[in-house]
Amino acid sequence: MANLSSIRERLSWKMLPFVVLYLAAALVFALWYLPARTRVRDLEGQLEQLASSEQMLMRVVEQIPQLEARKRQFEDDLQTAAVTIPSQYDLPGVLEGLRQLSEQHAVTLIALEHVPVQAEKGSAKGIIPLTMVVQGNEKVLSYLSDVRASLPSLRLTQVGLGYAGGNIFQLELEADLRVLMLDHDTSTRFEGVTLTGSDAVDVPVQAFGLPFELIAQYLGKHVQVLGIVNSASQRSALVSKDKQQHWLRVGDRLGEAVVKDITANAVVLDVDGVDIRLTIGG
Amino acid sequence: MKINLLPKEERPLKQSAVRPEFIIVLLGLLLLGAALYGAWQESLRMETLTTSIHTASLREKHLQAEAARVSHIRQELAVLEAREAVYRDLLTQEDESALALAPLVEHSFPNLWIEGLRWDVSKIELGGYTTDMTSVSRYLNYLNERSEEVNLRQSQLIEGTNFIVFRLEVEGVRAHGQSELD
Repeated sequence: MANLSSIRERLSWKMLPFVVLYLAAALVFALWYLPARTRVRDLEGQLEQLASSEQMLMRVVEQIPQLEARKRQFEDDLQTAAVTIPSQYDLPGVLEGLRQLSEQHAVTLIALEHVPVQAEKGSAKGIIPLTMVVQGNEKVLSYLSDVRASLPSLRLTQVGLGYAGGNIFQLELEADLRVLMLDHDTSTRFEGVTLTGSDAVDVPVQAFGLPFELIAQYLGKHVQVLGIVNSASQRSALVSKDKQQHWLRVGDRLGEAVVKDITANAVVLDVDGVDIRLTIGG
Repeated sequence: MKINLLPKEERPLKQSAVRPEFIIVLLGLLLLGAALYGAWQESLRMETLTTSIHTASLREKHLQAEAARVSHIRQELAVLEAREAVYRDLLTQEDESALALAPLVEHSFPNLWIEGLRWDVSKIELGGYTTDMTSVSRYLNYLNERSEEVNLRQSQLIEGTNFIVFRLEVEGVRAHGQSELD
C-alpha cells in the first residue's frame, strides 16, 4: 500500500514526456519494426523459392544445345533417308528408273507390273507389290543388286533365277515397294532411281544347265544312234531323233544340241554345256 | 557547520550521483533509437529484397521462355522420332540373303548342272541334275559351309538314263560378306 501511494504521488504531468518517449519506442517497434521484419521474412522465402525455381529452369535450359544438336542430326538423317524413299506419287518415276537401270545393265525387261498401293487408313506407310521379269547375261544379278541399292525401301519377297540357254539367264522378282503415304505429291523428296554402281555379281554360266525337260529330249528313246561310219577324213553318225534320221558330223547341230565328238561306238552331244553320251543301240 | 534546509529533491546532487530521470530518459531514447534503427534496417533490407525479387522474376520469366523453347524442341523431336520410326520401318532390310545367291551357285563340280533356284525370305529351293551323285554330295558340303541347313529334298534317277534329278532346300544363307562367326 505504501508503494502504490508512493507511485501515485510520483505520477504527475512531469512524467508525461517519459511515458510518451516509451510509448513512441513501443509503437515504432510494434507498428514499423515488426511488420517490416515479417515482410522481410516473406520476401526472403519468396527469393529462396525463386532461386530454386531458377536453378531448376537452368537445368532445363542447359539441355538446349544438346537438344538442338540432336534435332539437327535427326533432320540431316531424315533428309538423307527421305531422298531414297518414294511416295505413292513417285511410282511412275520408280518404274521408269527400273527401266533405265535395266538399260544401263544391258538386261531386257520382259515384264514390269504392279498392283495398286495397299495402305491402312491414316497410315503413313503403304506397299506397292511389284512383279518383274528380266533376262540378261551372267551379270543379271548385278541388276538385282543395283535395284536393291538404289531403292532401299524395296523389299524382295521372291527371287527366281533360271537358265534360258545361250548364256541368258531369266530373273523373276516379286517385291514390295514400301512407300510413304503423302497428302500431296509436292511433299515428296524422292530423288529417283540412280545407278549406284554396286559390286558386279557374276553368275557362273558353267554351273547352270537348261531345264531338264529340254535335256530329256535327247535321252532315252527320243534320240538313238543307229550307226557310225568311219571315213578317211572323219566319222559320221546316223542319228534318229523323233523318228527323223540325220547324218551328223562333229560340229553339226541337232536341234539345240551340237555334236561334240563321235567315237567308235558313241556320239557325244553338247546341249548348251551339258554333255550327253549316246551309244549305238541306246 | 552548514545546515541545508532545501527539500531533498531540490538539493544539488553530489558530483558522482546521477538523477534517476536522466537514466529513464536515456533508456527511453536508447530504446526508441534501437527500434527506429531496426525498423530502418529492415526497410532497407526489404527494398534490397524487393529489387532482388524483381530481378529474379525477370530472370525467371526469361528462363521460362527458354524452358518453353525446350518443350517446343522436345515436341519437334517427338515428331522427328515418329518420322524416323516410319523411315526405319520402310528401310528395314530383310532380304540381304537374296544378294548372296551367286556364291551359292558358284561351284565347279563336274557333271552337275543347276536348272534354277527360287529364293524367299525363309529359304532357297534349288533344282538341278547330274550324272555323278558324288558331285551332288560335294555340292551339299559346299552349300553347308555357306548356310545353316541344307536338305536334299528329292533325288531321282531318270529311267533309261544316267541322269539324276535333284531338289535341295537351303536355309539360313549368310548374307554377302557375313562370316560363319557372325
